[in-house]
Amino acid sequence: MGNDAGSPQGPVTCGSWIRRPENLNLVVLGRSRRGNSCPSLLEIFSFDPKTTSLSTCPLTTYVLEAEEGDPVAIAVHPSGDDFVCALSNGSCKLFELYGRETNMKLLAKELAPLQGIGPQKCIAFSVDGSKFAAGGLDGHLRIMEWPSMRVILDEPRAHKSVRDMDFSLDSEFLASTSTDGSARIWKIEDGVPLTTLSRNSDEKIELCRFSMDGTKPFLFCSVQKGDTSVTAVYEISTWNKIGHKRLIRKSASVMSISHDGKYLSLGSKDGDICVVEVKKMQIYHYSKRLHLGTNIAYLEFCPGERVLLTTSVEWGALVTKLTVPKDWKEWQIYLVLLGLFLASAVAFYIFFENSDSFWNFPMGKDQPARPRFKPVLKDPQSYDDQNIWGPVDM
Amino acid sequence: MAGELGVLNALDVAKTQWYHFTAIVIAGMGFFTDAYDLFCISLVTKLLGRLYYTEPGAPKPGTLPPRVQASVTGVALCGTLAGQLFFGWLGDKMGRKKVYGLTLILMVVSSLASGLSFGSTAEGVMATLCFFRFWLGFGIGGDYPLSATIMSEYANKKTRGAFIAAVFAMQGFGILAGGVVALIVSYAYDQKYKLPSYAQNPEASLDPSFDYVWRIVLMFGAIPAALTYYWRMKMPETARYTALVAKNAKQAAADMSKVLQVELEAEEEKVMKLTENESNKYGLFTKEFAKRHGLHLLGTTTTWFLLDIAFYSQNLFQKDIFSAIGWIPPAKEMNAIHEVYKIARAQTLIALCSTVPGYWFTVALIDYMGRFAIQLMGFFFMTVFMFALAIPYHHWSEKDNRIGFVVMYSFTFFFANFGPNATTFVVPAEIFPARLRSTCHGISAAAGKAGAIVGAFGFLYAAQSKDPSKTDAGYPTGIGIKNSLIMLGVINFIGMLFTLLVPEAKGKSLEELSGENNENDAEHAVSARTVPV
Repeated sequence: MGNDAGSPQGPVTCGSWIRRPENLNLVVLGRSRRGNSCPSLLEIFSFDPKTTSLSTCPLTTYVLEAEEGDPVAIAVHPSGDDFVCALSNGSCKLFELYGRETNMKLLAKELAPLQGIGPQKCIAFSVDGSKFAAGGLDGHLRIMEWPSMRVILDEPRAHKSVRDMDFSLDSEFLASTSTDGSARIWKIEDGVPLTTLSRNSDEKIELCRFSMDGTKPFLFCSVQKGDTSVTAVYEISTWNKIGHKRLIRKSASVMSISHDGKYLSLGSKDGDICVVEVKKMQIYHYSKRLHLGTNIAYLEFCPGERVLLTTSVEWGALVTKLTVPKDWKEWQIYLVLLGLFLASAVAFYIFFENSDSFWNFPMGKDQPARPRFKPVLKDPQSYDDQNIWGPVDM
Repeated sequence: MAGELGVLNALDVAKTQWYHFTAIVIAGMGFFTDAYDLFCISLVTKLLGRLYYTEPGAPKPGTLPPRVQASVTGVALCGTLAGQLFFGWLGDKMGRKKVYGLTLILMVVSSLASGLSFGSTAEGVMATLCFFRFWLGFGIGGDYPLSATIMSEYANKKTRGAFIAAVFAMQGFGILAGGVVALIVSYAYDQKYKLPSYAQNPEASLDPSFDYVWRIVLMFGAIPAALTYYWRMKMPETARYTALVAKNAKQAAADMSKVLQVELEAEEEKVMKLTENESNKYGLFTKEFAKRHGLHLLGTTTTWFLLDIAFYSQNLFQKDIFSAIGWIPPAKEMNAIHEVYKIARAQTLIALCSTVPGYWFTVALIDYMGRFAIQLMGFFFMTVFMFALAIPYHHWSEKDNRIGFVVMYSFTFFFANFGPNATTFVVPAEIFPARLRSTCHGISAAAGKAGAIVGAFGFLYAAQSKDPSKTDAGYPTGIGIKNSLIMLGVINFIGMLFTLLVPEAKGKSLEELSGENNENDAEHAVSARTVPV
């Protein structure tokens, strides 16, 4: 879905996937106002995995008031029922999705603790949906319980200005980065800072994402070293850097991890994207100039499909199918199992038909029955083997 | 969903509470189900022989021909071996939760299908039963490592050692449940029909409806499997770093460092790390591994192999031992259902007094006595009691002394479980370097299954009498009960010798640099299972 320059709609400023029941995926897009004729919008689109495209018409639209400003960031709750939108006027609003896909509605609600807190650079839910975090342009970091909104952390001077942040898979840590290149780790349960990531003086840690694979306890960071952008990996038991690798050729502007933790994706300021397999840190997909010459503002993996959603101000929202190895489908597994089942049925039947000849090895089939003689007297030499209760019934 | 996931966060933080015990039950149900399904067949093989192979006018009731007996008893073990390989490969491809469902569905379907075995001839029924028993073993092979994995993911960080041991001990309860189910079903039928013994009236001692008894016992195995499936599907997706819980963070970091540029720094510590990495980069089939761990791998595989020869032959054929010494009367003195009752009662008593206490003694003492001492002591006493039974066999075969035989025989079960049966599971997960741990554990486990197959098939023939006139129909002569017991004693003694090849993991560590010496030893019990190979 392209966005022509002459389109009456405003530019896309943010977006996100919404995972719905029965493997249905929606996309929410935020548009800023353009002139006086096009107000700020929130639009919900459906995603068609067969054609890898968004629906041409939104399922529903919500028009923001002029004093609310433009949508800046969107965070969708893992349940898929609601999302929070950070607005440029310095507040955050909660939006609830109602109804089925044919008659979907958006209902807006005020979040009192998030009123008038200033523009927020990034907002996020924890993986289990029980925590919510907001990082402001003024460097103010907040972590709250969801949905009770009880304050866990309220740190006005966490950073110079929050650049990026992410919750860990187990909701134990929050990583946040600053525009001055520093990165901090917060212990969520206690609401205290845990450590600062080590870096050299010429390095700026810009983006951070925790691994979503339980067997890989790592934090991936995009680090700017002079003119080069590299991806560094920290282990989260000691917060030491394991190593780094150069993956994307230009400066990285956005980073994302797939829901199963297998792939890591980077978007650049020149509109490139690359997708890396986490296990080997090997590039499996590279799209040059996907958003030609424009900073990619948002990048996220589709839950359940190997598809990326990317947005930029110039080119709007794009969905890209990735050229990565296909995952096994469940029906393919059942097919393999059924094949093994039938093959073993044939093998068992053949064995059954020929079982007599196979088991003839110990004794001939037509061998005459042995004579049964019973000694009148006990033989002293075989006394120990004699069972006075007769032969063993095997 | 969010509420359920919140429980996971609380798992690490809270003290032991109710949901820790539900986690034990959910994880332990896998082991419970495995043990029930694998061992319940030995309770009903006598009945199968009577129902399908009794010849009119024969002086004693029918028994399964040797090829059928061996197949019915051992085919599930072959399936277990195949299932472990297949589902191990599949788990890497699809992730564990989907595989959970698959193995348990397979176990439910195969249990029910076993009870519905069909055929126009006796051998047709047995062939169908063998087919479904194979697939039951296939599902068990997939479920066994997954049960171990679940526990490491849901255990409380502080008390997970005890949890893992308790989960493993659920095997004993599975064996016990098999006996109890057979006991209840056979007692109910016995009271209802009250048939004469075979000696009194051969035709009347068997009723066609007894066919239901063995089918009920086998199909009952579907119930714990279905319960396990239900509970596991209700569990939320694991949202934690299992590598941290299972102390595998170093392994994960080492794997990641291979695909990244590692920064060289002047710090001495990092140079040491690089040095360590270099010296630890040998693979499984290298001279370095053979030099460092070859004897250890030989020790773990042979001890597991030898243990399972003795353990499985004793478990699967203990009813035949009891008949030989007269604790269970001769078959012709009972009717068909009464025989099942007697067998179930005897096996349940052994499980209750020996097998289950043995597991819990290990749970309580393994971190005090150490694995080496428990395994050595277990093999030693198994050897002693086996020889004590075999050498004066004539003495025990007298009617007045058979209680003594049962007591001595029970001790071999007790020291199998308070001994090598538990430690052979624990030790391979501890003494090998992290990178090769799961592979070596898998090799040792496969050797154990091979020993189980040898035990299941071998003892059947060996225990036959030397006297041709005393063998059952269709069997060649063997070496007799006495010599079979002597051979098992020798096997246990050899196991004790090979135990000397396995180092003690409690207070000693082969990898000084890895720092395993500082970790809780019990936490390694299933750590190998959490890293896909």
